[in-house]
Amino acid sequence: MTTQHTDGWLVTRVQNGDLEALGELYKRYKTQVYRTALAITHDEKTAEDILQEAFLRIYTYADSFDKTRPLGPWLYRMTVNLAYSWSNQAKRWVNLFHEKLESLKALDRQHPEEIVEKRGRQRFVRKAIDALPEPQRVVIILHYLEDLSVSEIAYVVGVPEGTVKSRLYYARERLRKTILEREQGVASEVAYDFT
Amino acid sequence: MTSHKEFQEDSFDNLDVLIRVALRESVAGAEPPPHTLQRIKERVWKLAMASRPREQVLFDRQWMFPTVARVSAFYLFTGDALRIW
Repeated sequence: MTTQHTDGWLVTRVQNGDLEALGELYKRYKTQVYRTALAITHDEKTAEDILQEAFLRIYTYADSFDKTRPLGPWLYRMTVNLAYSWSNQAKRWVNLFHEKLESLKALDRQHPEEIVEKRGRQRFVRKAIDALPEPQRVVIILHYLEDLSVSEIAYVVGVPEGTVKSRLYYARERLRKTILEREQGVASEVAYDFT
Repeated sequence: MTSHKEFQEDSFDNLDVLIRVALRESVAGAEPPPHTLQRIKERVWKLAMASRPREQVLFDRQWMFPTVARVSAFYLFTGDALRIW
């Protein structure tokens, strides 16, 4: 029978240079960290870089880490901070701007059949999420993809719980509006086809 | 055919589901490349080596490495000499 060590115990081992302990932590958290980084950045290479950097920080910041608490929220916090730094670089902002512009254009180019189709709708929703302002997009990803609670998101993003709630609210309203506008447009196009 | 009204209601009742499914689909099966852990371990090892105490680094430079080199040279030389003999 294998013993399930706590995150704190493993971090202490990592601090002492135990690379097997690092491997164990990696096995536990790699998917969440990678998935979150990928959902924010949309870039596999960057998501991998963020994953490496986040685990490297377990070693460098092991002293300041509270070993009685699980590592998950702390790692999410690192991931989101690293993703923010990544997107704050001027060059990437330009790329993001172009991507968002393209995604907005793509929304207009979609055919009614594609919207009605289940996969097409998912793609449409995904693009609408991508078009959200970054602070709103991050809370949406953490809430809906990673199932984090409002208080956990507040810790991860470093803002009060009220701010998380309002970001979630405005993001949902914006998505609701985008979907409504699109579906009204589709419905009128369909009605026009039948007349 | 689904009517416009039904379509809207269905969408809004399931807005949370739509968001969740769309996000999960977008990263479904996403895993980091297999070499990532090895890269992290190498970087941690390098950091650990770089942060060794100065005395340890000096000891390694002045004693350990030369000693290992001398012992290796001795055994190589002895092995060769024995073989020739």
